[in-house]
Amino acid sequence: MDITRFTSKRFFIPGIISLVILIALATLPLYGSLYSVILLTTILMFIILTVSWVMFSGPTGYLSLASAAFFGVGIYTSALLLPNTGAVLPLLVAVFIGGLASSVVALGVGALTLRLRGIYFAIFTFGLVILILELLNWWEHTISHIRGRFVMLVGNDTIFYIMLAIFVLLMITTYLIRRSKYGLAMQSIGENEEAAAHRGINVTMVKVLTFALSAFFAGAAGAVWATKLTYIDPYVAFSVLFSFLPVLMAIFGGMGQIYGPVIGAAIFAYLQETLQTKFPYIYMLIFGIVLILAILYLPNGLVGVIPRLVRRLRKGGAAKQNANT
Amino acid sequence: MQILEGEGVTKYFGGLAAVSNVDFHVDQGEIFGLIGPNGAGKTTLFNLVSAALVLKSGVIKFKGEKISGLKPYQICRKGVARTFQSVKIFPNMSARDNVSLGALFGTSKSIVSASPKEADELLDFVNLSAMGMVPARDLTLVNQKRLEVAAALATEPELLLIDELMAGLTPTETSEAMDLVTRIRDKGITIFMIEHVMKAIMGVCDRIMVLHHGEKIAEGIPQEIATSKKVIEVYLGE
Repeated sequence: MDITRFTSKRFFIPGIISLVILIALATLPLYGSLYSVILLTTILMFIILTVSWVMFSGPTGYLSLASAAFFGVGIYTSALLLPNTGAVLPLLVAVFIGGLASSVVALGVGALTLRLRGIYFAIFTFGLVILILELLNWWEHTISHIRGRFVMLVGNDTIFYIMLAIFVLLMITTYLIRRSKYGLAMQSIGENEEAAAHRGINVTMVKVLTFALSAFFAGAAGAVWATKLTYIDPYVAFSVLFSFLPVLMAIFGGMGQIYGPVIGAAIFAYLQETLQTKFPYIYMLIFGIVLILAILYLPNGLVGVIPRLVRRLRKGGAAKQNANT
Repeated sequence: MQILEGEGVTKYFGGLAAVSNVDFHVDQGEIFGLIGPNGAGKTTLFNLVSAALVLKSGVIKFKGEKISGLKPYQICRKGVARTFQSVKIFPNMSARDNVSLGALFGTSKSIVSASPKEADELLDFVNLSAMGMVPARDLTLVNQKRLEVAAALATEPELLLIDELMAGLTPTETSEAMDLVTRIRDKGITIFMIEHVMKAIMGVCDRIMVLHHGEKIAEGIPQEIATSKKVIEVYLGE
């Protein structure tokens, strides 16, 4: 058994690939077009939403539809702190506070509702999005009498770099959690919550804290995104699409591996953007067909294909009849 | 010394008294058996001790300290571990991870990373040494039960509650399970066990308590229980 070679190979190659991709991304504004920078900012935003959703919902199996709420809270926080009349706080601080605000919302909501299981939790988290949306609507209609808000202008490169930084931070956090004992604890909660509690895991605390941590990244992404939108109102900030898309993207990519949701979100978001510009009238149709095919034929998502291919290649011609098992 | 005591332990399900005013105690170092017909409240009593259910009234003490009112994870960390009648393991984790999890979270110490050696020793102890990397779902029933015991032992308990370890096992497996129970006690761990297999419970227990319709109807050494008129009536009818 050559365990050392196995593990070093396992970490070395993905490490190098990640580093190359990261450098390519970090230098993109130097050689890429403005469009590519904006497109990648959008893709990164979707990746962050998806990976942060998977951070909590993936291992625990709690289907959260609160992504839009956390994203929206980030957007509104940043709109309050960075109005077009002049920033109250530096951009990075506003982004951090945006994330923090979402975390606080998640802490409260989590403490109240993580006792709910299955469909009840999904519905409640979805209700949360609608609740905040309608509350803001009511506020703007009857109290403040100001519809929506204008947000400070920020350069596209700056938005891109902050989004990239949040993405890197999120990936490192996800990786560390998966490797730590808390990753194992979350998986155990997903597989058998009662047994987890009786093995000494404070299930409530693990769930609530992870929920809050995942909300931080969604909120921070929202806070940056607000500066890209420049004008926001409750319907823009709390669009329910931001609750459903991360779930679809995660399923599309496959949740078994750490890079599954990243690839899923990247391809999904890219397809969405390009199909929308190239086939504006039938893009939803094409998109729907791609999704259905992916779900039918790739039950483990896109990344589920890779081990199957590897297995097929390794077996080679020696045992062709066994290859399709 | 009494490691576990219950006074007036009561639990209702709706209007039905599942456990009614039961006083009991478990002495340190003994194997204490709990028997009774189906629906007698045995598992409910276990659920009350491990805080899977909340007491209606009464008090449960572990080493003289009140533990009723605590959460399941706190009771586990105090040193009371349990297994379940229907095996509760983590099906998609390897056997070793199932055990490591107990060691990582269930002890009173705070541990950052699991020790594979400790997990392997426990797997070895329950005769699963070759199964470390096998996903728990792929184990046979008897091996899943053993794995659950190993995972419970990983939390370093002083008292282990075992709920029907021998149900569904073959005679050979049953005698192996009896041997396992004895070896756990020999490690210095007190055992409180529910069992339907009479031969097993009479063979390994130091004392036995009998529940019927949620009430304690007898308590004593195995010979007393085996000859008690009341117990025979409950089991065989008049």
